[in-house]
Amino acid sequence: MSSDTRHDIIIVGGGPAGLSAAITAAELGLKTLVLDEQPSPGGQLYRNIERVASATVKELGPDYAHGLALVDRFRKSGADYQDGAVVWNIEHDGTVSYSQRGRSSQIRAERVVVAIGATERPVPFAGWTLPGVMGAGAIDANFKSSGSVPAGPVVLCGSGPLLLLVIGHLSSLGVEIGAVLDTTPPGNTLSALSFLSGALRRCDYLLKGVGMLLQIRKSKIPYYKNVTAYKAHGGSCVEEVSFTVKGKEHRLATNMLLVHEGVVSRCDFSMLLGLKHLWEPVQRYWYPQTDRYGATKSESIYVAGDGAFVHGGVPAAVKGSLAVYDIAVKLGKRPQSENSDVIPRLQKELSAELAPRPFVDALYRPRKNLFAVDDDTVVCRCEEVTAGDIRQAVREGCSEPNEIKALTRCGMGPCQGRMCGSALAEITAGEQGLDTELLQPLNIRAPVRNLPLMELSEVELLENPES
Amino acid sequence: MSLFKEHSVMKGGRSVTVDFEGSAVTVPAEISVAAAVLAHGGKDHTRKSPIGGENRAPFCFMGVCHECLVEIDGLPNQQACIIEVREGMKIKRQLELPGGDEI
Repeated sequence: MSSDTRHDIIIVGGGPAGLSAAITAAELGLKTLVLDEQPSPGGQLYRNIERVASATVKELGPDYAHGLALVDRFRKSGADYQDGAVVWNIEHDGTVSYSQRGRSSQIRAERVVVAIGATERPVPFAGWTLPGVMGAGAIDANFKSSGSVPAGPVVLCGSGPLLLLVIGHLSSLGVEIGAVLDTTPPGNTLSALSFLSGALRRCDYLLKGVGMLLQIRKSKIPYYKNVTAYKAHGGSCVEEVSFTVKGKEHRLATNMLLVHEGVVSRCDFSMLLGLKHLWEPVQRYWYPQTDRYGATKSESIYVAGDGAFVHGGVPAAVKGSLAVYDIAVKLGKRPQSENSDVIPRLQKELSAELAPRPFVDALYRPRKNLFAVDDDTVVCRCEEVTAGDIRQAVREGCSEPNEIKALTRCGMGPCQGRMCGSALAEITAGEQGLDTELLQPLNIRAPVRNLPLMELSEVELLENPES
Repeated sequence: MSLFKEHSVMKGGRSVTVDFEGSAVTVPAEISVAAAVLAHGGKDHTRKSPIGGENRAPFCFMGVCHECLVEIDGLPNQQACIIEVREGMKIKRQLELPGGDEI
């Protein structure tokens, strides 16, 4: 038997899904531990919300403030919480290895809920390695963690609801916005209209989106539509952005270019565990195959929240609870019959939240040539492998991302392919005229974080439950 | 040149003093090391690429991109965006190759 039976359930991630899962688990009497790599609970959406001053929470609006109640309920739930706990391995038997303040430990529970959320899709373009080029959502995250804002005017570029949210936040915080470069393809509106009826079921979301757009128009921020081919230029830092609108090139001076090309699931652990992944063809990303509770083919492992599929923060919290109700039954801590009321209620809540999603996904569908980057553009930031290097490898006979990784070192740096993995797959597929979903994504191996060898050698290993 | 500037103060408004590349810098408590370098340390980059030598700065601020790797209390390759400042912490950007050569 396992030497560590202190917890029935380990939840990896302290965002909406993880916190909601923990609250439910504690309510159901499960011994619960949340491992969060952040210094305080909230994930990215509600990042650092306990420590951000009340006036600032107000400035960021109700979508952020919503997290206060969730974090408060979590703190009162009785679930254990470890901050700064960076998980670097999860095994099928429920063993979790994590590093915390320079020391690594192993623990094990009957069930592990992976709730590591989503990330902004990294899309390479010329100049994207220059300091001052950052994710738009990244700026939001940094503000919530530090109270600091861009020192000068910024240019925002890309497509997606999060881009609008960040523009709103920056405006409220008094950051000067030099221009917004909208890369949303012009045909999207028409194709999204067929999903409008679903969106109309949640007029509140639709009106919020329209409101954000109107606010931008009213603010007189220069707003360029149908933008293509944007590039960052500069010496030691970004100084200028160039882009094309209807065949005409424009250039704007800026020391900060914030890009956003949508949000994709983080699959670090589901891929590490070798679970089956499916391809989302509209928003173009892989996500782990789960049942409606987030259970995977591996008995101990559940995936909840945006890491299972990108639905947003409020649905993520519902998904976290759903997973735990199922786990409680599976662990014999709750009779199946007691779930018969709560599960349909949560699923109804979830589908109401998701009604506008097909409309939003179609409206902000990534452009077809998202990864048609020039040969000299760096794709792997860590190892400085270019799109040309990847295409050359394909011409030399490589057909899969993992082969190209071995040949070019693309994806072998400290970020372990998190920044270049999707671009590598898309470029490799594009070069062969294949659909990306036919390729195998990059293999992920433990440790999924960089650890000093000394720390690794000093891990106290749990005894094997079979031995 | 700083990439960022302070806008609002965190709850409590406490501060700590860190050693940033030999200088004592007072910064708000509980902020990330990355924010300390880029908003209070007067810098626009956190490391140089060990491959090509160009300046790099954080891209994601959420532990994914690893562009924020810095040396903290002598230990290299620490993720500055998810680690908080502590009183007396020694922070150094990674501007050299691992062998100590200037890039």
